[in-house]
Amino acid sequence: MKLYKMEAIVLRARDIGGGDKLLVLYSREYGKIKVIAHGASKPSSRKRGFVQPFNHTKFLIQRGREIDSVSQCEGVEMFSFIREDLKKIGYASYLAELLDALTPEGEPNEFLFALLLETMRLMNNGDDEILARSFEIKCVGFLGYRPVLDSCAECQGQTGGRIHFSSGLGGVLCEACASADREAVSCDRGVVETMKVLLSWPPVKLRLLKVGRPARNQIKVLLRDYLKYYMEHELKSAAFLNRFTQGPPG
Amino acid sequence: MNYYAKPVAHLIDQLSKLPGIGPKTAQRLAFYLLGVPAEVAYNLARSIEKARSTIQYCTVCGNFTDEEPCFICRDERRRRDVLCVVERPRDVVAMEKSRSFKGLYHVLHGAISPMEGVGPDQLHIRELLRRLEGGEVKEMILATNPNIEGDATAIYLSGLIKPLGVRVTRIAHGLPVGADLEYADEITLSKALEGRQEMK
Repeated sequence: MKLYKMEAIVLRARDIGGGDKLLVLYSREYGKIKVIAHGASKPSSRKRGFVQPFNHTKFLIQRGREIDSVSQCEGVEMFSFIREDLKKIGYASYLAELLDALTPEGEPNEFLFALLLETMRLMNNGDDEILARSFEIKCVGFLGYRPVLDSCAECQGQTGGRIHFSSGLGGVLCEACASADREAVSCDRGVVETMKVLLSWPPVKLRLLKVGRPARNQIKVLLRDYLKYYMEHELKSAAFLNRFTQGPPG
Repeated sequence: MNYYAKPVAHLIDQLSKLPGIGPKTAQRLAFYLLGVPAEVAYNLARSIEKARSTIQYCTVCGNFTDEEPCFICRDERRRRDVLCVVERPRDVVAMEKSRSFKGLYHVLHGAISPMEGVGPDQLHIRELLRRLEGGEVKEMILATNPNIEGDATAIYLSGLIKPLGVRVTRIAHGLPVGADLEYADEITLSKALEGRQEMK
């Protein structure tokens, strides 16, 4: 019997019949990994409480022929405040779905694990929307799709005058290059500066950041469009968030 | 290469479409059905056909029924002022087995799940609001599952129904009968403490 340990955040938990759950975990040691938790839907299960989505749990995993299974688990942080607020459930679902969509299985990335953990901790009394935007931009940055914000993504020159943002060309465009992508959208310089802050500041420092509603809306639309370009699909929880939070659909 | 006579292959194919039934189990079931007295197999076929052709959703509560409205909604002895909201028809069965609830039910046919793209519009919430219009219902018990989806559904319904002047409660969460305190998680324990009761 081969057993191994890991510390992970539960991204998804889907009932697969017979009281079993298929878990998608993001672990510190192995990155994204799918495991089965046998009997985890049954009231008598000792694992039941620890394998709920968004829990930070220590796992002892047993290797299986086709899929590994949870042998034992112990909760580290349960983030119970998330379960008490519909918007927080929406934001946490969005973070989990985004990380699931962006990462392949079996590629560890400790930065992403720490980023998700810290973002979820700060959701207790932080600005959920700003934390989600910071998570989005940092996540794509860590995975190699960091948007170019300091210079023109097309000519690498200075971005004087009016600036545009192009998801296809991977960042901001100067006035002269704006025609390089017909779908590039005009954006405020302040919005780009805020995006730089979201990318570079640690999440804990973001409580000092004050962003008005128009800028929040524009950043949301730009980043959602940017993510959609790279993922080639929209996240289901994004539609949920659009319904239960302020701002435009994006 | 086909190893079976065509009707047997078709039967195995149909059985393997059932949840949790793989090709080996489907083969075992097919040979069992061919081996038992013909009446056993015909009874099964007739039961499936009858259930499929007569069972529908109750237009009042949304539970499975062969009569309109269902036998629970028709029962005059049940309290009409308490409504228990559950996710699935099988949850009605679980509640009925407890023999502790004497009110009426409402089946949502799912739970809000942001990651699965299930929102309030996909659930039978409009039907629930219509039932509350009469003013007969004084209390709504939310018996959604104690997981993220059930919590999201309960929070949404509570926000929607409370302003209508209906008392909204949720079934207690805590330790299951026969469980060890040692193995309980912190959310379950804190819910169990919140819902503690004085000894009788």
